[in-house]
Amino acid sequence: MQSIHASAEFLAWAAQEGIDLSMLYERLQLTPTERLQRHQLALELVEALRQVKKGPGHAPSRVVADRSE
Amino acid sequence: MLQAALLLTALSKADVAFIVIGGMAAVAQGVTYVTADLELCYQRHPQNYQRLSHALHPFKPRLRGAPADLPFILDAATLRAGLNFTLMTEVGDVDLLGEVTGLGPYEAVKAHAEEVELYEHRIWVLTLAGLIVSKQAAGRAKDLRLLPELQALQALRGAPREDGP
Repeated sequence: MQSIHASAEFLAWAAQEGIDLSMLYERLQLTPTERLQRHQLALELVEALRQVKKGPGHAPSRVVADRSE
Repeated sequence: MLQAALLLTALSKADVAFIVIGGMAAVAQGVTYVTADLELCYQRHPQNYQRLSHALHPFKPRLRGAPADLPFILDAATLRAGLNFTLMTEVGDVDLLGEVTGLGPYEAVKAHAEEVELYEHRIWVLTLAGLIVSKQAAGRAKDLRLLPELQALQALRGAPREDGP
């Protein structure tokens, strides 16, 4: 019971801090493979946006880490 | 660009003893995060050095950040002589770690991992609790930034937390 209260308190704090709990909850409904597939699409989008920003003629960048979707 | 499916499938088919850690483990566990590299903890064992180097060979691994003309061959001898390797391959960046900060070598990391199905293969992935321990121990800004989301996921799953906000 104590841990349930602790979790509820933490979730309230996390929501206040800007964590999108609905998105996390949605992810939990997916299989791990589906989560990685979603990630791959997001990574491709980030990479495409970086290419647009850089303009034509630039090689694909390696570094896209540490970005929230 | 990172092609995690290709890398994970190749490693699994080659029976490499490895655990997915870091950002990709966090993604597999459910965080909404985008990472461009695949971090793996590998077992330090002669047979595993062979399997790991053979599995990565088709992707032409080379040292990341090193001069292009620096000779480098990822083989069993190289893996035996080193511990952690930051590599770039034709299918994305791969970090090979012999030890994980806060957890230890492969065997200790495995105690904090779970086997999940990824791309039709059974693959060991660091648990949320393991990720939280390792991120707290690493303590870099990029690690600490991920903590609230990892802890929120843990709370959503209803698991008791051993740490506070």
